[in-house]
Amino acid sequence: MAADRTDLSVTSPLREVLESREVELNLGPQHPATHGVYRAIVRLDGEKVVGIKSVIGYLHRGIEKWAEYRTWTQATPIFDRLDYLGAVLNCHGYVGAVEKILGVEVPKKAQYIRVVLDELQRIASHLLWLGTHGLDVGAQSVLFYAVREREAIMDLFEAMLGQRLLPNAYPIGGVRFDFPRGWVPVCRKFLAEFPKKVDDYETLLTTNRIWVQRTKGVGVVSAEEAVALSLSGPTLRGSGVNFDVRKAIPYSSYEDFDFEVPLGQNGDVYDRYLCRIREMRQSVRIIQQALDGMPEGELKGKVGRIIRPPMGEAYFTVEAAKGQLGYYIVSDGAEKPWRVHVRAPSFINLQGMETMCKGGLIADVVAVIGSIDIVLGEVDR
Amino acid sequence: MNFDWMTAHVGMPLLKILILLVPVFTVVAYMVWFERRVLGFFQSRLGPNRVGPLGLIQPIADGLKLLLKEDVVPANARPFLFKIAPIFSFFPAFVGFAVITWALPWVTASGKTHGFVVADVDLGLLVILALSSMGIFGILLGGWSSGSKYPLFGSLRSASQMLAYEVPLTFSVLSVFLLAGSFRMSDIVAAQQKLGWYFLFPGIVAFGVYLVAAVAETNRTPFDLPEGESEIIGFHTEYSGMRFAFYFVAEYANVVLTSVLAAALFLGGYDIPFVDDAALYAAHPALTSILGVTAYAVKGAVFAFFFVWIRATWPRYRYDQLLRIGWFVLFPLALFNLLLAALFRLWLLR
Amino acid sequence: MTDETKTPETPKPAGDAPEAPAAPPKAAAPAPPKAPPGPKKWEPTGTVVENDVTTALKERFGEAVQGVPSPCGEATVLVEKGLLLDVLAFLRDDPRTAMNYLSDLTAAHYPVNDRKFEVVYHLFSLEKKHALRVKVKLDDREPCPTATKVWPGADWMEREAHDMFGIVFEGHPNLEVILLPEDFEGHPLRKEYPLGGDQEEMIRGNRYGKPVYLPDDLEEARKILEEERHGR
Repeated sequence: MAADRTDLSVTSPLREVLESREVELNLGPQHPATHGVYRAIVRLDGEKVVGIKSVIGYLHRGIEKWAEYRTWTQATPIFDRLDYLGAVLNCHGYVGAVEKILGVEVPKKAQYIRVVLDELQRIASHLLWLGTHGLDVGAQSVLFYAVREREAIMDLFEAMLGQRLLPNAYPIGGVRFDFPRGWVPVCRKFLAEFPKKVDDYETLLTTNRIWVQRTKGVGVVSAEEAVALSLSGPTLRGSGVNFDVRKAIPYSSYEDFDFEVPLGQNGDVYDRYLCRIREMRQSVRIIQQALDGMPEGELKGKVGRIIRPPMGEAYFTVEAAKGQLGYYIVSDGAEKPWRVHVRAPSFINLQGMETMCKGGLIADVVAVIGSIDIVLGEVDR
Repeated sequence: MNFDWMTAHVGMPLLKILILLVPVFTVVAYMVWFERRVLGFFQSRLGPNRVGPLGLIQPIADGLKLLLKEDVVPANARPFLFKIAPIFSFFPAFVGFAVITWALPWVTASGKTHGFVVADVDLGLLVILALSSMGIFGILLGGWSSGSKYPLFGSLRSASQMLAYEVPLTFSVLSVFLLAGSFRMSDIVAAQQKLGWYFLFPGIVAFGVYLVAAVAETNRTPFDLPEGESEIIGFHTEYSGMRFAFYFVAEYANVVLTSVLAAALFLGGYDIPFVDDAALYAAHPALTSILGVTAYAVKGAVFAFFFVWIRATWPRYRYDQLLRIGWFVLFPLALFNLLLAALFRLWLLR
Repeated sequence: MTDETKTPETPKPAGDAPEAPAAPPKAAAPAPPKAPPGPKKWEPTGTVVENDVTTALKERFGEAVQGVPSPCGEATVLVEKGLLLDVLAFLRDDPRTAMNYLSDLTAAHYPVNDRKFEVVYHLFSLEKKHALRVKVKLDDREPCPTATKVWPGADWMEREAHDMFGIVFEGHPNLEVILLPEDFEGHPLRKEYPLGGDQEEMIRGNRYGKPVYLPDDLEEARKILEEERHGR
């Protein structure tokens, strides 16, 4: 426990004075850089991190219990509140799980609309990640630019779904409405301008000496460790593991679209950063393809007014912005769920903190938290 | 002890101090406004624009607010040291302005020509360096006496950082001394006027080293890890109200001081560019002085803008990278630069 | 704080919950003419799905691994607790199955079934892209072997299942509460735990207390009100 004792052949009081101890620093639940109420108890030897213990649960709201007291449709809005920065994707997960257990066929048009909205939400979530991560590492201006782009997406959501942040986007069976009049041209304009903005961010950060020095080699997790720890999303893909739910277990017509899955090599913060930036560009591609190939058809499959799924269970996963978001639902034939469990990607990715932070400096802890991209709503549910 | 003596040795200095302090305080306060506004423009938003036209009354409003805040001394802190620590940061930052010459002298009172400087000492430059070393005490004391881990970390980091960058700063200033032949500020400007070139060109390496070291000395981004707001909050975590204002204002005063110093050392100070100052001075001393002060202010403002520009753009260095740059990059560069300056001086003297 | 001494907080033990295992509000619905549905055992409907993984499992373990029907085409198997770790290790290591990714680990509570708890593992293979759900049935207070030896990522997932249901995972390196405060009593996701927790009466019950009909005499009325106030 005591660090290197220099060989002192002096009397013991002096040796006691010069002995070094580990310091326990509390990166407390209230901290500008912990992205919410997350507490990390960091054991430090000087500036080096010897161990890190995560304490979570400050935002635990009992969502899984609450869902058992509402009908299947009434329970839908609460899942937006899990990852409140990527709400549409959460909704898609839950609704997809219920559709799976019911055996409802979602029409192709509704699937394409869902893809468009999902990818827009992914871009919005990654933008906010970029802003906050940059702010933590010290580049203060990126936050403002990222939030400015996000405003465009929020406007699109408001026009289409009625809400900016937590829209409760999909009913069980499809989507509620088609695109409003004039929505598609605005969306296309956004898509045309957005890649240039991403170029701006890359100019500011990707080749910046300081950024590279802060993020390369920091928070490394190897591919085997990452798979063993059940990490997912860009946290996993930064280590080079090609696992994207949209490609591995395609849902909602993702197999119709042509896009790449960006992978990293070293599993450090820099690679995860690059993964997310490239994912934003790929999302733009997907949305353009979806808008170009939008089929005609119904907006909603056949779902009864009161949903009573057969007794059984289902597990449905989507690629949320943070990773693999899964919903495990158990039905006992009633109109209320028996059990809903959310496989929250941020919760499971946060397990990797110890592996990633050990041996680094304390300034790296903040960079790693930013690169895992946690949202406490999801971690604590 | 007659009237002339009193005027020369007591009255005029007091008047000069008064005339100096008021603008300096104003400039430092409005440096805050300047930074917030310019940062806002960089970040595609407006800075303060509500309090007064263009937000110009914002610093006054902030000062009033900070004055009226509750005086909190943490239970774990050492009260006496906690209370006096900000003074150690505040004091040297402003005293440094006393040795700077602002313009060529033209005021004559009681038979003696008074220069535009409060204390025209022979070792003006060294005084400023010594005072900036004193500023470290304020940070160390403040961090340690706060009685909590975050400020302790911040102050230790800051102390090692400032120590590491003092050395290259001193060496770059020494290069200017070699080029100018004197530590007195007015002599330095005179040497640049005599040379015909500002020391920017012969001392370009010194200039680079000075800039980087100055940004680190003043704890500004990208070297602002000690007060890294998003990590270890810094040595001033436990400070609030007017004590915090002291630290805050001290930092901005340091920024202004280093900008003004950079303008003096490398850009010629109150020398009006493209104009023959000696001839103008012989003809219209008052006009020369006024234009000189204006030119000086503009040059200082350029550097101040540079400080803000860097803050808006770059992320911050991690602590060990910061120290590595200070010791392994800047220090050898500063030594090399000293050699260059010495060679240049020899060439000048031949 | 971590083991079987943690009991559910409500007076009704898990064993006898004859009325409304689903939810109190269901039984308190406004007077339906027909009797409320009685408790039923939870048995999944649908068909048993076979894929490469289940075939490999059946070859290796035979009858100890039973297929479970699924209404939506997901391969599910039920395993005996004693064989659980062997099955999981086999699934991870065998080249035909190669399930190197633990997607989810969770639990569910069925108070009316014979064995009340189920621990559910969702496994996925990153190369072969097939999935499997492994279930294990446990009684109340029966510990379950930990899966952290097979996949370290099961760490927090098991802590959460322990927190929420009270299932003890033997061999877990650090079985502490994760989502709940350290001094929390009870296991919230069990069916008998009320939604409002220890403030159930206050939140969902009659939060102002029952109506008190006061007598005309002032002194008597005051006494009754004092009792009410102190009794709360």
